[in-house]
Amino acid sequence: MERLTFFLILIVGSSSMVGLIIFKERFFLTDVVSPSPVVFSYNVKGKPLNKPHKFKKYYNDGEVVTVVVNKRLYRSLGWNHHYKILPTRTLKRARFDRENTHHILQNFFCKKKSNRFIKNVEVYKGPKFIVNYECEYE
Amino acid sequence: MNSLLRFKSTYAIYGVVIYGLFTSIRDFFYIEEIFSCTKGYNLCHRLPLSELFTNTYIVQFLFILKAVLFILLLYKPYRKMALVSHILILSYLFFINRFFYTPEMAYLHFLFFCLLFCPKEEGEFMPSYVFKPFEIVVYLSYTFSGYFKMNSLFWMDGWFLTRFLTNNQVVLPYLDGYDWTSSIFYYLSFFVLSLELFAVMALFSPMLKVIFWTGLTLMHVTIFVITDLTEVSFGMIVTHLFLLDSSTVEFYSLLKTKISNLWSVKKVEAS
Repeated sequence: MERLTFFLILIVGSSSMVGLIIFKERFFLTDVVSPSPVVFSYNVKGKPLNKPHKFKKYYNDGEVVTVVVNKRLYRSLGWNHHYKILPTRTLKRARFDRENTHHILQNFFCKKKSNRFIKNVEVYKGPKFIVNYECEYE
Repeated sequence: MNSLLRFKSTYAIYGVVIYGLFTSIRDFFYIEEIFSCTKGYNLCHRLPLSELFTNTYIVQFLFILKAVLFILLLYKPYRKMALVSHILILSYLFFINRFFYTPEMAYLHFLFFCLLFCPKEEGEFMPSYVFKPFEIVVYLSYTFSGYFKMNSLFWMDGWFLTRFLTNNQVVLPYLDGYDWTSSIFYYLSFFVLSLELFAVMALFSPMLKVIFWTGLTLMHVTIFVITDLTEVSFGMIVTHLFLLDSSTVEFYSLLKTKISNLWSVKKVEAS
């Protein structure tokens, strides 16, 4: 019985890692009880994430501010503070014709609070430029 | 030696309870954002009948239940029931939003799974047939994590810590303005990477276990002190508390005796 328990714990505990090695993909059910790497350097599927997203905000007065997506940014915006639900997946598959992406960028950056507002936002994946998004104001 | 292990067997579970209460209470206020699936960001894992089960009130109830179950962990007769319920609740929450996940969660839930097999009279003082696989999986996962980090340019250029601590602004406010660009962080990056990469070697010798256990625990304590990744580092510190074994304790008690002997000799010389 003890030997059985030993192997059961070993198999359950390593299931996530074995899944990653064999299928190159994470299985979220095994993540409940099985530790596997998911820290800043790779995405949810366990593939390396070498290029974090970066935004360049262009203000109407000419100032340019660079922003890297992180937990504190989301908190400061008063939106989903949880970095666990960063919409990186949506952005990763960045098809900028999608309504989701438009919604995210519009909500994050294009809030007109005073005379100083953001004209457009450039999105980068690491050093690579992806898209230039123009804010919409009513 | 025994006093430290007794401390571990009695108080390590309090760490789990503090962690659980902290995360349950904090996340309770963000339930709507995390689990309502109404924001339109396509983050929720759609299941049959998910509309019915992603009701915010149900999730709120589950969070309260989760907090109560964490307190129940302190009472041995209810512990196993609480552990099983936790695993079930977390599986359910993962199904609603799989991004509701931090690295330490899996370690703690694996710990819960291991505690399920501990005999009642021994509590969280794990018998060897539970402790051994727990130890193997935890150290192996560190190595695995290190291997993945080696694939990342982020880590391999050696400036990960500098980049992380300056650009990402995760540092606690009292360290604002600190210069993180010193070359010591370059070497520290590689040191941390090698600690993780070779962590599996801890399984081969008691001395290596002392080194890796201490190194990794110190790493998490440092993260806890300087960054606001509180729940990750605290959860890992609690896991490491359970990972403490007799060889490590023996080493530290020996060290303590030697230091106290040295101290007393110095005192005698001074007098």
